[in-house]
Order: sequence, then C-alpha cells, then structure tokens
Amino acid sequence: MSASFETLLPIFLLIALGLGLRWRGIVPEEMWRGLELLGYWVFFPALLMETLIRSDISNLPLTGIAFTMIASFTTMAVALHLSSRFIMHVFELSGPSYSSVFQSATRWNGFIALPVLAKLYGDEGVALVAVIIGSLVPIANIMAVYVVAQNAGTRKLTLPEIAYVVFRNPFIWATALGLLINFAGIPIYAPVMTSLSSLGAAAIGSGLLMVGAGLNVSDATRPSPAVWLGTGLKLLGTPLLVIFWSFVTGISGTAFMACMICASVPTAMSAYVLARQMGGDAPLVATTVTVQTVVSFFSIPLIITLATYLQ
Amino acid sequence: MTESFIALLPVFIVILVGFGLRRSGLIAEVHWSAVDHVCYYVLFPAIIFKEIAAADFSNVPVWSMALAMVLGISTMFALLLVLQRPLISVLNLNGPQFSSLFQGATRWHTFIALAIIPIYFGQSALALGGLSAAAMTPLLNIVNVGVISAHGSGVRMNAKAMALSILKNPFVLSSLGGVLWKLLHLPMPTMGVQVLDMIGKGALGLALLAVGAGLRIDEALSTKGPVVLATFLKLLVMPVFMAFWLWTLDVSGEAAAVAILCGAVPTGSGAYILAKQMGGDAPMIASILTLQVICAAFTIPFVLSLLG
Repeated sequence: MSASFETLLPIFLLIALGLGLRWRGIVPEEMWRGLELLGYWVFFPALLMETLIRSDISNLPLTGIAFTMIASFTTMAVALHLSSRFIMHVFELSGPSYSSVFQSATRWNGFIALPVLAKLYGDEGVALVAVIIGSLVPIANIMAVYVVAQNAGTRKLTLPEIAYVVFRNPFIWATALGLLINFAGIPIYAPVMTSLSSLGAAAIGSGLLMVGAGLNVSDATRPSPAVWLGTGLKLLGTPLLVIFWSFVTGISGTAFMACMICASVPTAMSAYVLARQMGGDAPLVATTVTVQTVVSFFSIPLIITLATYLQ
Repeated sequence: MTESFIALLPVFIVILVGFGLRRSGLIAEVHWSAVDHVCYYVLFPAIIFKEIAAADFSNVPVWSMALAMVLGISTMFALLLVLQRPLISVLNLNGPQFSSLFQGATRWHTFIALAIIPIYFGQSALALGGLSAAAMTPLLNIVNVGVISAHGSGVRMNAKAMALSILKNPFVLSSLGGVLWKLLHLPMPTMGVQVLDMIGKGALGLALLAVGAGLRIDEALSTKGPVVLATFLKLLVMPVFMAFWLWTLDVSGEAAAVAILCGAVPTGSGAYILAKQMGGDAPMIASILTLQVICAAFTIPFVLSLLG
C-alpha cells in the first residue's frame, strides 16, 4: 500500500500546487479558465488520440472493459434513482441537492485517473483510460443531464439537446478518431504525430493544476451528511460494483486495474458546471469534489492495493 | 535542410494550432495573456531549474559559451548603435520605431528556443538552454531598456527599477537557483523531480500555443523596410555573430549548436510588453515577431543544417 501511496504522491502534490497557486493569487484568475479550455479542447483530446493511434490495442478486451464500466456506473445510477425518495427523506435533501449527490456518485474525473494509470502502466494505461472514456462518457453525461433536469425543476431537455450535450464532447471525438485510425491502419505523417504528442504532454500537468485550482477548502471544512454520502458512494461504492461486474465479464489484469482506478477517482469537475447551468445544487457539488479529492488521496491507494490482490 | 525542417515542423504546427485557436475565438484574449503569464512565471522556471540542477556540465565549457553569447549579442548592439544615424535617416524612422527595430534584432524568444532544444538535441540539452537564458537575458534587458529610454516616448526607468526587474526575471532566478543547487551539491529528491517533470512536460506545448495566439498575420503582411531588416538581422546575422565568437573562443559540439540556435530564434514576446510600457512602437514589434516566426520555420532549419 505504501508503494501505491508513493506513486500517487507527485500527482497529489501537483493538485496541491494548483490549489496553492490559486489561493495565493500567483496565477491570475483568467488563467485557470484558459487552461481549462485548452485542457478540455486541445491537450486531453490530443493525448487520447495520439496514444490510441500509437498503441497496440488489439490485445485489450475492449468490449469487456466497456461493458464492466457501463454496467457498474448504470447500477449505481439506477440504485440511486430507485431510492431517490428514500435518500431525500433520510438526508433531508431538496431535489436540486439530490441531483448533486447523484452527480457526485455517478461521474468520474479523467484528469485524475489518467495520470495515475499513465504512471502505473505507461501508454497502455493511457489507451485504457481513452477506451473507458469513450464507452462511459456518453452514457454518464446523458444520465446526469436527465437526473438534474428532472430534480432541479428546470424544463426537460429535448432529444436533440441531449445529443448535442453528448456529441459536442471532444473526448469522445478524439477517442473515436484514434480508434478508427488505429483499426483502419491509416498512416499519419510523423511531424503531425509529434505535434499531437507535444500538445498531449501538457494534459497531465495542466489538468492536475486545474483540479487543484478548482478546490474550495473553506467550504469543505464542515461537510454535511450528503457530502459524505456522495463521497462514500463514489470512492468506495463504485469500485465495489466494478469488482462485481468484473466477475461477470471476466476481465482481469491491467484491464481490471484500469477499471478499478477509473471508478475510484473523484467525480468530474464538469458536474459543477452542469449543476450551475441547470439549477442543481452547485455548492454541494463543489464541496463534495473537494472532500472526495482529499479522501481519495488515501482511498485510491487502498483500492489499488485491493485490486492488485484481486487481479 | 529538409531533415531539420521536418524535425522542427511539429513546433510550427503547434504554433499554427495556437493561431487557429485564437482566431476561432474558442479561447478568449484574456485567457491567452494568462497562459503566457503562467508559462513565464511557473512552467519554464520549473524546467530550467530542474534541468540545470540535474545537469552534468563537466564536459561543457560553460564560461566560454556564456561569454561567446554575450559577445555575440554585444556585436549586434554595437552594429546597430554605430549605424543608428544612417539607419534612422535612410529608413525614415522615428525614435520609438528605432527602439523596436533594436528590440526586434537583439532579443530572443525563450519559449521557441526551449521548445526546439528537446526535439532537436534531446532533453538533456535543455540545461544548456537554461544557461543561455542566464547568460543573455540580463544584458539584453539592460541594454534594451536603455535604448527604449533614450528613444521611446514614454517613461524612463531608473537604475533601481531596472535592477529589480532583472533580479525578478524568472528565467534568471531559476537559472541561478539551479546553479546554486548544483554548487552546493544538494540532493534532488525523486518526488520533486517527478513533480517538476510533470509540470515541465506541458510547458512546451502550452508556450508554443501562446506564441501562435500572439501572431498578427494582417500586420505582418503589410510589412515595411525596418520590419524586414529586423527579421534579417535577427534570424540570419545574429547566428553568424554567435558562431564567430563561439569559434573564436573554441567552443564546439552541442554547446555551440545550442548557443547558435538561441541566436537564431525570433525576438521575444517580452519586447512587445516593454515597448507598450515604455513608449516604443508596440505594433511594429508585433509585426516583426509575426514575420520572424513565419520566416523562422525556414531559416532555423537552414541554420541548423549548416551545423551539420
């Protein structure tokens, strides 16, 4: 366990650095927005695409991974949806607050999962994250948008609007293009690949700084029970579901490790954006993200140790 | 030359992507200046510090290399200052325009140089790039501030403010920090190296995007004599001056090649800020930089291919 703890330490140091840089005002406010946009539209897609084009993915159990992750996250979502009245009653939550707990438990932060897997398994780890993003992001986005719209009292989204939310996501395009180029064996001019890789190199460092800059420590000092619910479900509940569904699909080894790590990271930063845009409880999401990030520093090594034992 | 051109093509592709991103409006103007700011204050200092602190300089003639670079830029200073009157009358320049020509012909773009070095020479050569920054930046800043004070239309900087601005320069600070760390034989903690590595890796791509976002194609297309002259002096004459002094001081190999590259890159984006603050001709700097970046896609491979 201490070994995986040390693996994670640089990652969390960078997150802490991002927090410090923002807190002390060393880095101007607009920068974070610029970095966020560049990371989302340029660096991350470049990294995913470049790795998928370059890697040998023919040996990865792609369908097994996709099915395990979709099944695990859908199980969590359905369980939360069925028990929505119960949760709102016990935790005394409003509709918007419930939707934030839902988002905290059913989404995941690729910016944290990717560096962990890149460190543990190199290019293969990055390729695995790309595959998981490609399979999980569309469905996770649709579920989140649906639940927030239903519980936050705003009008329901039309089908074209939902399609737009999903398909304007650059991660999905990057993954699809990368897979297509890889499987079709389309040759890419070497300087273009080098350009992609130098852009992709920025993804990990800037992504982690950005995660840190997004944390809000002062709000998170006294977390409510709802925050702990979202944290427990995400950081421990989802990995347990992955263990169950992995037995069903029979994936093992690196593929299993990748699924476990992607399940064990905090919820996505975009959950906050969605909550703000659609009338969810945005402060609750912000607090949960912060608590999850701090707790995950300890829980991810735990999950990695458990997964290593089970793989 | 084709080989060096293809090797450097990624650098210019990423610059082009940055240009496209700004034109598309996906990332707004304020965000770009913030990106620049972070590259300058956080990312590059991290790389320079780490590379110098971890470098092995036992086979590098550090002092001769630094001296040759200082002499190289000083030769350019001297040339421009001696020819100051004829240049002003022949090209019909006013004071601010001369100061911009001066900045355009003498400064260097650290982002571009540091992005090319690992691609062309390998990661370890970055330490030499850091040394170049430590050698050239203080002198370049002092002389350029002096020239703008004499020719610009704006405020003059006093000696104290100038000294402070050089001491606060992040490239100088991080180089000195790295050298100090090395001289004191302090251990480099693995964890620290990993963190600096993760930050540093992203810097090059990010910085090149910022370079691209700063390009002003329309202004570069309407170029005039002084802009072309500054481009010629910076991209082709400066490397010759560097090569001459490196040869005189008997510096060769990778150290010489990195020094010549640092001479051959376009002028720095700091020139624009300085011109704006101190009453130089800032739009002219923008068009000089743009023309230089476009031409550099061909002149830098040319210069590097001459090195063999």
